[in-house]
Amino acid sequence: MNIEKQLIQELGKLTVQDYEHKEIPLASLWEKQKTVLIFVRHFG
Amino acid sequence: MICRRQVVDIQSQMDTFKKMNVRIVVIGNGSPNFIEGFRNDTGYTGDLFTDPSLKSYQLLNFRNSVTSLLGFKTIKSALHAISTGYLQKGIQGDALQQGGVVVIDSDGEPVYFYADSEAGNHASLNEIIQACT
Repeated sequence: MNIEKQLIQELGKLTVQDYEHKEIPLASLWEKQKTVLIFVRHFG
Repeated sequence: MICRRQVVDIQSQMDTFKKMNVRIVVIGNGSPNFIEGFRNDTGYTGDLFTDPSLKSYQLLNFRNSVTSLLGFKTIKSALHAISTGYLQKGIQGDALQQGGVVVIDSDGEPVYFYADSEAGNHASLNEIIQACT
């Protein structure tokens, strides 16, 4: 593992948008269960 | 082509992740207006969001440069994607931005991290599944 929990805490403070442009806090995504975040290059 | 192929592969294992009680979240970086089209193209049924600000990509130090688009693996992956029917339609997002995978447990602990080194270079699905067990 080459990233720290502290970095995940910082990540959790950021937001992403859903298809309705609604801002979702990243931390809310993994608070209930183990979560795989897949960052894709683009929607191409 | 390359990105969609990766998501189609993930979709093929959605039952496996569900059995493990693991949530799958795909994050892109184009406009939210392209989310539904991407879902239709890939058949992906999981959570789908976008970060047009690229802040999360930058925080995780995912590469963003022209050199990351070049390389043998890119050509090989592109040929594979074309041969399996996943042609890139047009770029919706930052064309130079690379992606990656982070697996986080419910305590906020990172248990797996992979930064793509170039286009077409992705975390192996087996490695992701291993990280979830």
